[in-house]
Amino acid sequence: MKVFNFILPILLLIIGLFTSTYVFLGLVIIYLIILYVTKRQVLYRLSSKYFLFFLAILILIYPLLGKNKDIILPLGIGYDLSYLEMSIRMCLRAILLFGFSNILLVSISANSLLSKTKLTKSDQIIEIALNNYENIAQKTFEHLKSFQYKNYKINKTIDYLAKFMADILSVNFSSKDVKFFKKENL
Amino acid sequence: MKLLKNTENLSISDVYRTGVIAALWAFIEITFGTWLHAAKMPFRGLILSIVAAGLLVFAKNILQYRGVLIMLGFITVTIKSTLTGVFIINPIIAILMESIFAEIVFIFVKPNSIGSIIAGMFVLFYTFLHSIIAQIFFFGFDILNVYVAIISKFININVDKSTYALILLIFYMFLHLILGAMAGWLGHRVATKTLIELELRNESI
Repeated sequence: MKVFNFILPILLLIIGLFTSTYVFLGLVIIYLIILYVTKRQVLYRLSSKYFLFFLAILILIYPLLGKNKDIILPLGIGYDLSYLEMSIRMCLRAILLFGFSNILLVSISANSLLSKTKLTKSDQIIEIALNNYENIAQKTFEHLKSFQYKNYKINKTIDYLAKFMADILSVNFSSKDVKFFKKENL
Repeated sequence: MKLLKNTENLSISDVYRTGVIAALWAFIEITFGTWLHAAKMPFRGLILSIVAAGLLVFAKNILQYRGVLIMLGFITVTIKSTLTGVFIINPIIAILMESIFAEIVFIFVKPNSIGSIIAGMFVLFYTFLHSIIAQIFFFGFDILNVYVAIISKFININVDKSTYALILLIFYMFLHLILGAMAGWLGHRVATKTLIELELRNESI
């Protein structure tokens, strides 16, 4: 699974940076055929109408913005082939990145990362952070309101920031964790 | 992970302060970061990275146990994705990588003023690399020509396009390094004063 959904798209993206559009296009088509034959789930995501609409706009509209008029369309609108090449490359990258990022989003979450790294006490710290989030938000707004922007001096700002940080780092700041600290004192 | 084994022996105040700094970082990312993204502000990644660099340096000066910055990054990401309800890959990778970069730097340098400046520079250097690699990944090398074309509309200099692109890249990199150094210095200064302030309140670290 990792080879098709993770390693191969990244490899193709890197190859795509240095090869011609035709080689890149060929490689991505082969990749899509493999996905189709092996019935990979990524293919269903790639065939969503929103994604196809995005690709269609990229190929149909973007080349109209070019300066050259390689193909003249009705109303004298020009179609720039060099812009078309750029939009094809962008589409190919989008196909690979879309498949890749979807898999990444499913397989990676902050919680799974935390559990994999086995950070001890991380649960306790998250709990403290979430309990104090509102207090910190309130304190920050209070400090921002009382900060005198007109008397701006670097030393004053440092003093001000230090006072603010000392306030929130003070163990008396959070009433919710009082029990927690009483235990340590004992 | 061997590096993070020390987290088993953390004091309760260390745990509390890590949580508070992570909550502050997440709060900045959620409010200020969302506003910057919604307003489509140019250089929003750079602005958020300066804040992140300052906070990371500050955290390392206050909490000196190994792996604190990686821990901060993971917890910020968790809070951000929990409270916003979405898992957007780009800022999450940026937050994690910034914290990992800063932690690696602090393995080699002490969190003093010079070390803090170096760490700030490295965090912003990662931001520079991240933006360049991400844009080349999405749009290919053509994106450099697009930037050159945009800038040459405003400034008329007869230089070869590739030279022009290189000059732009180097300038952009130095801008990141200078701002990173400033963020690192500021983080260290604020941390030093915060420690004094906490001592005055009889709350030593």
